[in-house]
Amino acid sequence: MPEAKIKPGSDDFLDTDQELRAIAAMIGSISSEEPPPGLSDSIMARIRQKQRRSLWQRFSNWARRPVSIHVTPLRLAPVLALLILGMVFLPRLISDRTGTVHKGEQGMVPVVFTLTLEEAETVAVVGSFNDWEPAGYALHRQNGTWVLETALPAGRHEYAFLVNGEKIMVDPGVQFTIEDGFGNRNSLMILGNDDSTA
Amino acid sequence: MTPERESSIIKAVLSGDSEAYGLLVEQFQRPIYNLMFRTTRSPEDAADLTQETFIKGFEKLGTFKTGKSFFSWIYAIGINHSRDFLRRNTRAVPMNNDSADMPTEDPRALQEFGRALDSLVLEQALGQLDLLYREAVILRYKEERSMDEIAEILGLTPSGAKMRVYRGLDQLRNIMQEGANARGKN
Repeated sequence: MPEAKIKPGSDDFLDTDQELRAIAAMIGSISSEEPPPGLSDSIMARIRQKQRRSLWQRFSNWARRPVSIHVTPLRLAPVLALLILGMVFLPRLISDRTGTVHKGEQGMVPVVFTLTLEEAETVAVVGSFNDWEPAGYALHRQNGTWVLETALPAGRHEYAFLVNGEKIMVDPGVQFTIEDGFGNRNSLMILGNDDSTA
Repeated sequence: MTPERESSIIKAVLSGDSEAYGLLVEQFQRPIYNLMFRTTRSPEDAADLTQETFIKGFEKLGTFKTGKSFFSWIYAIGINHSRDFLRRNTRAVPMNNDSADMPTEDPRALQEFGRALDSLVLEQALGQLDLLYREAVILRYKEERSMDEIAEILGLTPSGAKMRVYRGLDQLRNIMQEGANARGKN
């Protein structure tokens, strides 16, 4: 058996036993097996995989776990208050965001009247909002189109164009019309979310 | 790897930097793989058990006590995993029965042959040792670990570890002598 130097330690039993000393030396000279290439990479890949799964697992466990809630009227009061506030303000908030027309500072809604009628000499708009009086509601010609930018109260308005001071015509750009009770039709316009007559 | 470096890596892993664990795997995969190879005699099984040992180590790292040796800790996990493997696999782990062909009468070749034969006999004898005795002598004379570390790994007192190493060597001697006697009769 080979004789080899053993590192000093507390194995004094080797001092008196040559055979054990030789066996210990032989153990020290046993060749090591090489781990297969990529072993550490595959270990880390498995750890990453397990971590992803464990995050989902933790969320899943949390979501499935029944939760006990202890409530006293005093603790419930702020929650109820928040719920009521939410019920009151949320619909308003939503309707504000989905509305197509924004009100002005005094509840007025910006409106643009337009009419393409090249042969007209004058055009005004008359309606329920100005007692069917054209004064102050004349349209101006801009590149062949008659235009008036103004602001009207929110609500439902009937109106018509007064062409050349005598001819009444509905707004060709508006689909909704209504009988005026005198055999003619007026255009109908609803501003804001209030469809009551302004 | 210094104990300080080892400690800072473990802290980093516990703080969420799981990639740092790769440094510990790189450092200690070789002894763990060899432990598993001695147990299974199969490269595939050894790789699987090594992988499972390090994953178990990662999952239990929160229980690792700072100031202790990571090698001792992961090796203890590896030994437990080896024992589980042996319990699950009741079939005998195949011994290394490679036979050595007698070379020509060149004295140097004969000397080499003698060494190879000794090594083969030793490895076969190690294969017949109980796992806890085998690992005690491997840790002491192959991995060059102190009796204190061996005690920590095997869950013994230092004097218990010393006794385990001594008995392991003594059993090896008996196995090898029995083998030599059997060969002598043939």
